[in-house]
Amino acid sequence: MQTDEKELIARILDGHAEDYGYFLERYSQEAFAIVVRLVPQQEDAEELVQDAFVRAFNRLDTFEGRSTFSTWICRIAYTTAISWLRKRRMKYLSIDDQPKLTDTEVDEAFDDESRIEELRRAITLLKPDEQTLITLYYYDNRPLNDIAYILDAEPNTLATRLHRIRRKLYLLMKHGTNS
Amino acid sequence: MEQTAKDRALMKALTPETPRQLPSNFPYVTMRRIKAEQHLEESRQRKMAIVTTILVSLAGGAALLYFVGGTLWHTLLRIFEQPDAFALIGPTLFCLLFFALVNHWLSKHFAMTK
Repeated sequence: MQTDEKELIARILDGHAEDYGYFLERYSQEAFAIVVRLVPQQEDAEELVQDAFVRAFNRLDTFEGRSTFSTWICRIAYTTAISWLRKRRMKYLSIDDQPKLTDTEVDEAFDDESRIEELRRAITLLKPDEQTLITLYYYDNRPLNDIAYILDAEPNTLATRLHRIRRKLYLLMKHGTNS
Repeated sequence: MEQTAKDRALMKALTPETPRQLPSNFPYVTMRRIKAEQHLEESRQRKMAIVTTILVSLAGGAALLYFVGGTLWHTLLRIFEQPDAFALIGPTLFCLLFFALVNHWLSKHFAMTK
């Protein structure tokens, strides 16, 4: 975390609430990118990002600077969106028993650009946390340690989960749905 | 899990087809909500402080009356039976006025420097 951000946080905690605008300007799109993948409706996603920033403001005194502010706000945005989805009881398909697959099969499918549409459809069938994990890892190129903080998981567990999600995606591409 | 250039299709599939953005006034709207919530919280705390003060004062007054009310009443009656009892009223009123002025000045001073 940058020193000036630490100073800004200290100033906000000292009563200068208007300085929080800096964090809103700088990190709201980043948090929105995570939320909008879980909650596709624009209005709902905007409201959830706003909730996350209000919650972060109210808990600013608990921010210890062990992670960057960006990672911290992404974590809050993610948990806010997941709680919202749970309240709505949104169901997502899951494949728990995966048949035997070779990594080569999966790798080839993910490298074949003629299958992008199949992949897109398969991604929408993943659970929200799985979608977030592959987006943060493959699209945002975030380090596993940051992702582990955002998703509140162990980095080693995430590596295993990423491997399982790849196989699951391949199966969803092949079969269309969980059958 | 190794992230390689092999996953080209996966990376393209993860790229949003139409980039989604927050409205440009999002920081302003959020700051307005934060300030409104702060204001509400302050007003809630002020009300709580007033209610607590009233309740504590009432409880204190009731306890005083319950434990020493009788003694106080009899003492006051005895004082007023004395012929020079009313000689104390002038100095007492002066003291009360003095403390009221000090209280007013202190309140004004702290309200300005806060």
